[in-house]
Amino acid sequence: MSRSDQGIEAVGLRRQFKDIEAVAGIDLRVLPGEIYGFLGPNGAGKSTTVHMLTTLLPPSGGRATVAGFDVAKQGSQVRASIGAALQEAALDPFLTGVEHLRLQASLHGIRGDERKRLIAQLLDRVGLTSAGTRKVRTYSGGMKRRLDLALALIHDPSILFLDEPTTGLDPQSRTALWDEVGRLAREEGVTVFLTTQYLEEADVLADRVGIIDHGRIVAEGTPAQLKAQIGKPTVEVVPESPDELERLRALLRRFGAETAARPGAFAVQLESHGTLPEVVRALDAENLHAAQINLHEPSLDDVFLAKTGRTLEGAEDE
Amino acid sequence: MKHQVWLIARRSVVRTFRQPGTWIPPLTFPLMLMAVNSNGLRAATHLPGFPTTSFLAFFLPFSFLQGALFASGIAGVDLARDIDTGFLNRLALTPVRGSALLIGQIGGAVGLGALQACVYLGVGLAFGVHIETGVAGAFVILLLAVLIATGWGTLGLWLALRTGSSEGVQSQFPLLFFATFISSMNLPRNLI
Repeated sequence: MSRSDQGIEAVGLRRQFKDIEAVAGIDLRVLPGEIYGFLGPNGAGKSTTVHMLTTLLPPSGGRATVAGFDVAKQGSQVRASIGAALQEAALDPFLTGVEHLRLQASLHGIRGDERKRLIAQLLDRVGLTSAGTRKVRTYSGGMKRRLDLALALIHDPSILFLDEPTTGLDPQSRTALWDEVGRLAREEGVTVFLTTQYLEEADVLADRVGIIDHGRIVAEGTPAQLKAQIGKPTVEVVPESPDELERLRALLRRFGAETAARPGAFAVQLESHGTLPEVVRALDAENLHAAQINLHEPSLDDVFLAKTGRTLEGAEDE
Repeated sequence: MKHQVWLIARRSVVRTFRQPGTWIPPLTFPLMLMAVNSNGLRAATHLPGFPTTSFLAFFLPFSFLQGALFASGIAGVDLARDIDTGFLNRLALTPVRGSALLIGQIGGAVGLGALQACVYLGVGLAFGVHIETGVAGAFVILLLAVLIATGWGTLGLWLALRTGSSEGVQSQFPLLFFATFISSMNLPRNLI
C-alpha cells in the first residue's frame, strides 16, 4: 500500500457520555510521516479521542478525517488505512502469536505465501520469531505489546494509532518499542498518533506534542517549542566550601536572574541556552571550586504545570 | 462474508477446545444426569400415557438441550471477554462485517454442541435406544442438536451484548437451566 499523503485532521471534535464531556471540542492536525504525541493524565480524553479517530466511537460533534477519509462517514476506508494498538494489548491468551497474525492477515484479505512471508517478517522485526508458536498467555507484558504492534502493522497501514503502548513495560521493552516506532516513522513514513502519560516518551519520540486536559488541548508544538514557551534552563552550583557562597552568588548573577536553590547552593535562570560552558569557564577563572553543577532544562511536566496549574503526576491522582 | 465467518468460527472452536475446563463439564454433566434419571425415573414409563417404554429414549433429547444450553454459555462468555479485553475492538478494526463477527463467535458453541450430540447419541444407542427412522433419523437428530446449540448460542451472544460482562452472562444460565427442568422436555406434557 502506498503511504497516504494525508494525515489526521480534527475540527471541534467532541464526545459526550451522558453528563460527562470526555472530549470537549479539539482541533488538531497531524502531518503525514509525523509522530504526534498526545500527552495527558488518565481520564483527560486521550483514549476517547483515539476511539473516535479509529471509528470505534462516533463523535458527538465536530468532524475528523484520517488519511483523507471522514471518520463518521467513511469508516471502512479509514479502517483500511490505519493500524491500531489500543490500551492494553487485546490478545487471546489461548491463541499463539502466529495464529493471531494469521487471523489478522486473513481478515485483511492477505492470504497464501504473502501472508506467510509477512508473518515471518513481522515476527522477526518485533523479536518474537522463537516465541511465535507459543500461546500468548505465556508471553510477558513486553512480548504482548510487541505482538500487538506487529498485528497493527500486518496490512501495512499508512497511519498508526498507539494508545499508551508502553504502560506497564520494563525500561528495556519500552526502549525497544520506542526504537521500532521511531524507525517506522523515519524509514517507512508511517504517521504515528501516540497517546501517552509519560513525559519522557513524548519528549523522546514525538515530533510534535499536544497536551490534553479535561478534554481540551491546552498546548501544542514541538517539545522544544513548548519548553521554550515556559522558561529557560536553570543552573545550580554547590560550592566546595560554604564560605565561597557569596563569591559564587556574585559570579552567577552575571549569567541570569536568581532562582530557588537548595540550601548551600545558588541557582540562576540562564539568559540563553548553551551558556553552561561559559559558567564553568568563569568558575575556573575565579578559582571557585564547585562540588556540584546541575543544569535543569524545562521539562514537559513544567509545561503541563504552566498550562494547567498542576503537575502531570498530581493530575493522575484526581 | 462466508470466509470471514469461517475465520472467526475457527478461532472460536480452537479457543474452546484449548480450555478443557470449559467443555468437559458441559459434555459430562448431561451424561451423568442421563445415567441417574434413566434408572431412577424408569418407573415413570409405567404411567398411563407415557410415550415410550424406555426412559433413556425419552430423556435423550433433554441431554441435547441441556448440553447445548451449557455450550451456549461459552459463546456468551467468550464474547463478553472479547468485549472486556478489547479483542472485539481489534476485530472491529479489520474489514470484517459485524454480522460475520457475531455468527462466527458462536462457532465454538456449535462445534461443542455437535460433539455433545454425537456422544449422547452414541451413548443412547449403546444402551439400547432404537431410532425408528434409522441412519437418516440419526442425522436429523444431529442436525437438530446443532440448531439447538446455534439457538442457545445466539441467546448467549445477546446476553453478552446486553450486559457486556461474562459474569452477567453466567448469572442468567441457572434460570434457563431451571426452565428446562419444568418444561415438557423433562416429563410428557400430558403427565405434568
